[in-house]
Amino acid sequence: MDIKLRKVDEYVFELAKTGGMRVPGRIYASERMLPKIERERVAEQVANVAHLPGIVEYSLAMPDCHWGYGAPVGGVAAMDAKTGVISPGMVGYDISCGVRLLRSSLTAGSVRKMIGPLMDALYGSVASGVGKGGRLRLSSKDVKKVFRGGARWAVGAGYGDAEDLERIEDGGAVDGADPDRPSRRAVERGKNQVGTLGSGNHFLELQEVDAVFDAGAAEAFGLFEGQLVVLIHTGSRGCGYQICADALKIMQQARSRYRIALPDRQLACAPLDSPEGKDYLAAMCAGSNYARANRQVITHLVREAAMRTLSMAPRELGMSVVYDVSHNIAKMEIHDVGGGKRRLCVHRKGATRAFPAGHPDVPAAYRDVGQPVLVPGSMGTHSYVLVGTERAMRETFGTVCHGAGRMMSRTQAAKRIKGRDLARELEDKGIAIRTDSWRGLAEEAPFAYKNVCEVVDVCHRAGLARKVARMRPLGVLKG
Amino acid sequence: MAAGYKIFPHTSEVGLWIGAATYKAFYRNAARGFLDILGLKNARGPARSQMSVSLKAITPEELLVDWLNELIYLVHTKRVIPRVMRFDKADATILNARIAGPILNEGAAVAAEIKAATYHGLKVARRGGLLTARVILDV
Repeated sequence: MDIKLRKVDEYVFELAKTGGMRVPGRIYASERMLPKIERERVAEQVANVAHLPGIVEYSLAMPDCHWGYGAPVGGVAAMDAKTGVISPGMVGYDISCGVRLLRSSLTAGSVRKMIGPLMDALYGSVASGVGKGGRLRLSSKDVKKVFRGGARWAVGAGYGDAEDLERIEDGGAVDGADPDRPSRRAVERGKNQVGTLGSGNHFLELQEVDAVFDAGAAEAFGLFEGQLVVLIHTGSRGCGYQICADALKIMQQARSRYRIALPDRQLACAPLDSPEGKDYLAAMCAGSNYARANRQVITHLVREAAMRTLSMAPRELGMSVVYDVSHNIAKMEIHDVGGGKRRLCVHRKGATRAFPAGHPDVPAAYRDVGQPVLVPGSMGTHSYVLVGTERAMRETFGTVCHGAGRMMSRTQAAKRIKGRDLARELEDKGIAIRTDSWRGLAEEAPFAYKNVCEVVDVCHRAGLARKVARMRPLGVLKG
Repeated sequence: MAAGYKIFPHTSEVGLWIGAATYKAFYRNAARGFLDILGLKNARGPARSQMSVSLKAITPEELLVDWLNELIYLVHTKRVIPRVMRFDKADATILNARIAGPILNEGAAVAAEIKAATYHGLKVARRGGLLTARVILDV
């Protein structure tokens, strides 16, 4: 497919609506990023997504976009709630994979000598790595409670505080979850993975806030320069993957019934108001709640490990949630489209919601400022806190990037460097590494990813989000 | 291209090419490639666990995805390494097999966590006398 991109703004490139596309496409990127994006044929995947019935305005890609399967990672598509479809492939297998940032009352400087012991404690407390089960062993009944209650279930079970929920997207649980929709196999896979990181690009990092760009927003978020913070990146683990796989199989079979022709099977979908569409939405919400519960239990484990290692009481540690937001999800939202309000199903696959000041879905404590947006960098590089803007609401359904975006395959990365050598390099830079898999570490080498600073800069300059603070890693726990 | 399997790179996932003369060999090679990606192709140990797998699909692509997803479930959830496979029936839309293998111990080294097999760009086709497919696995 020969796709031409036309520059429509400093950081916006458009694909014209052609063939079976129902809307044009738009890619947010800098000129510098464009050759790589073109080589990866991201535009082709943006065009494929534009074939989905009921899609509104544009098929979008964020600056960290790269080739995915079906849809690009960094893809955003909003479907009309009445006439549109829902697509598991546009959400991804790791339903509600997302990021949580914890603040503390401590400065990084005050605990610098304890980073090693802290990382040892976290390594011992938070299960990470392939197929590793956590401390919690749930019954099927309990897993269903997790599907319904999400982080609220976790707090009720003693893992965290009620005030944590105020700063989690959706107050800790998405409405619309049906705990009976996920299959028996999804329930089985969820039994021993609450409170686990997983592997691949999932991680837990101790970080230091090393720059504040927006003092007012940083203060509202409880962040200050030199502060010790914790960033957690994980999702719904095996049960989320199973929910997606189950739904894709059903939707492959439903495609012909609804006469939906698609350029890529992985975009299999069903109308939102069909039984298949409703079942998937309800199951996806259940998976989303599992991910929220997962990050909530990990938060509790991090607090316990930190208090034990530093011999501190909770009040002295002051570890609280800044925000928790997903970047693989479909949400029912109201947006302005063509001068009127419309209810849409906004699919974000490797893209983060970024709502502005005043939006009712932004936690009350942040409503004057806007929603925190958490953007992790690749291992060993900076992460960022941004804040959502009105421009994002107008142009991208309130969405920005989710991270650095891969630009090299895992195989190539592992060929280029050995995990132990990478760990040594990072330790030499003052970053403590804990992992069970040297190969896994090598696959996540910083050079395998785009430069997150560049990605964040494009989002900032394009007006989709404003930079609030930057963090640098002190310790990394990787599966 | 000779029958067998090949692992090929993808920016964020892993690709597996499979080629075989018959459907039985096709599914067997898919399993071998899958175990290779996990670093388990040479896993040894007595076959302590046995199970039956019965799959039915409308297209060969769906069946291949179902088969690989079944293997993912066996390894990552049931913690069985599917080393011995006996196919009672294997064609484009039906697969009945008996699988046995050693237990994967908690903490045993596994090279990757495969989330699922995807349908992305997937086509099972005969090329040069071989059944072939290129499947992307989400890791």
